[in-house]
Amino acid sequence: MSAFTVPWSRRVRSLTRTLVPGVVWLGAVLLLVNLAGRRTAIPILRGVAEELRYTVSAETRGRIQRVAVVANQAVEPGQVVAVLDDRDLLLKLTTARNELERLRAELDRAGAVEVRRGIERRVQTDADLRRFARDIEQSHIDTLEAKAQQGEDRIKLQGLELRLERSKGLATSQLARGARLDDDRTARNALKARIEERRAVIAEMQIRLESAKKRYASYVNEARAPDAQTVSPVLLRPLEHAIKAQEARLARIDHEIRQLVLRAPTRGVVAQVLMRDGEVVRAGDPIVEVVEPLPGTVVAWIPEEQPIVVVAGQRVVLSRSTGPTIETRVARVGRRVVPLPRRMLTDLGRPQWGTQVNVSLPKGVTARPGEAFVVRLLPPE
Amino acid sequence: MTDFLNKLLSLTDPAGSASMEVSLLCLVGAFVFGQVVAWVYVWTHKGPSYSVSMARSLIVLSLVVALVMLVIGNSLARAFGLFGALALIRFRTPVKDARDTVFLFFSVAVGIAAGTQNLLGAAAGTTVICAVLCYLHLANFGSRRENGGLVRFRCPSGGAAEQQARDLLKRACAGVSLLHMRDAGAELMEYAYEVRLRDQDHSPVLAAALHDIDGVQDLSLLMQDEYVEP
Repeated sequence: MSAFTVPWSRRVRSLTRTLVPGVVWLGAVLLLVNLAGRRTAIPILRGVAEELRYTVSAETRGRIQRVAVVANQAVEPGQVVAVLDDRDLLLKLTTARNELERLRAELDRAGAVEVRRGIERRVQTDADLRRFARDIEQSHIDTLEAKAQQGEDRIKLQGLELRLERSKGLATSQLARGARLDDDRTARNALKARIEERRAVIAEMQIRLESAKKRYASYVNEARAPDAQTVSPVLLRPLEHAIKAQEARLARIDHEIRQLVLRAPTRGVVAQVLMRDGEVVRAGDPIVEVVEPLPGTVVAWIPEEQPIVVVAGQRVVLSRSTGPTIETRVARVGRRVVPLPRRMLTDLGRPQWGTQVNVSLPKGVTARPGEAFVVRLLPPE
Repeated sequence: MTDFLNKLLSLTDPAGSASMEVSLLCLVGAFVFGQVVAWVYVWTHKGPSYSVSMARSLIVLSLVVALVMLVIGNSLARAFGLFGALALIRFRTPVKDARDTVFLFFSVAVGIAAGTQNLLGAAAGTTVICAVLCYLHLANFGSRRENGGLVRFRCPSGGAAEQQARDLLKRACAGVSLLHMRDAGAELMEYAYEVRLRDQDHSPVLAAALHDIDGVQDLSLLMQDEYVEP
């Protein structure tokens, strides 16, 4: 063996010392990949507990008559917080009410006139109907009389026929003069002619009677007597519409008066009183700010540069400096990327943007307004 | 354990705090990439100015800077404080070795971390960086002069002795490099070779073998202990 041969132990040791840095480095790379994977697997956000803020604003333009609350005062839902001056609207309300009364009186008067006219029309119609009926009755009576007369004439004619026959007999036996026969014949012919003439008259009278009955029936249908209480709606409709319009105006004024009284929308504490008595406000100007007594929401922010996707209803774990961790869910995710609040900025000198995530606090869990939370997003179910 | 550490972390100043996972991630990442830089430095460096201390400092420095950034975060005040502390140390303390500078920087960073109540960062940084330092020491990372030495001898110029000596050196050593030749008078030439033995126990054998070559005079073999390697 050569004097310069290196023992195997030395070779192994040398090789080991050569490979150790590589092995250690590979181990560090694996650890790095593992840590990076764990970091992105569980996104962590920062948030603060925020109470809901409600701003009570003026709904109409006006002067503040009275602010009924002071800062830090507890309020209940519906409690009056401010009242605006309502003198102008009260004047308008009085005027509108007077106008409505006037229109209603006008409607009553027009209605009474129409009722009177209706009654007059009814009376006239009744008179016409009675006249028509009387005429029909008279025609009927005349027809009956004509028929009766016709009957009598027929009887007389029969008598004259017999007389004529007898006269003919007597004339033949020369027991009577010929002139008597002529007289009888003439009387019979005359009566016969009269009977024929009367028949035509009777027929005509019957026709007239039927037509009169038809006219009466049609008149009854056409001029069916209106009820004395019903009036023609056409003439009163404009007044009725005017009354409805005035009532609508009254309702609007009443609504505007109600808008002058501003009430607290929820139970809470008055955070800020922004206006004082006597100040003039426009519609939408904030007057009082009310906040919930205890925060019910943790508002977290997803920085714009972090590709984290959060959905409403996703489970999260909240942790803070005191107390146990809280498991809850995401209530709402913002749709826009907005500037981060100052407290969420990691670099005060650089503007940052992010998306808001609202996490609801479970019932029974209390937090101080502004308390910081760490929000860990659990994988979606 | 993680909850406890995170709660401990949450008590610290949030301006530059990071969770335990983030701290470890940053430090391990700094080690990974710093190691690559150091390897490239060792592999590409030419010339006698190579320093093991510099190669190791490259790795440790990346870790120390990562610790500093974890501590400082986005705080401008802390950044200026660190700058001032380092400047004061630099001008008041003569530092000749890169490794010493890194250790000074390390101490300052740990002090800032503790002073800003970032105890978790200080603990993680100290643990990781000291572990890396121990690893670098035990693995003898960066050393290029293991079993290195310097051979000087005189022999007649152009003779067989010089050729035999060169052949012997090539056979006995893992690396041979002629440093210089000098005319030593009386038709003798002085040669100086930088050698790297395969085993440090071969040095007496090599010396004896060279001494046995006819014509070789004034032999000297200077072994460079790795412990004194710059």
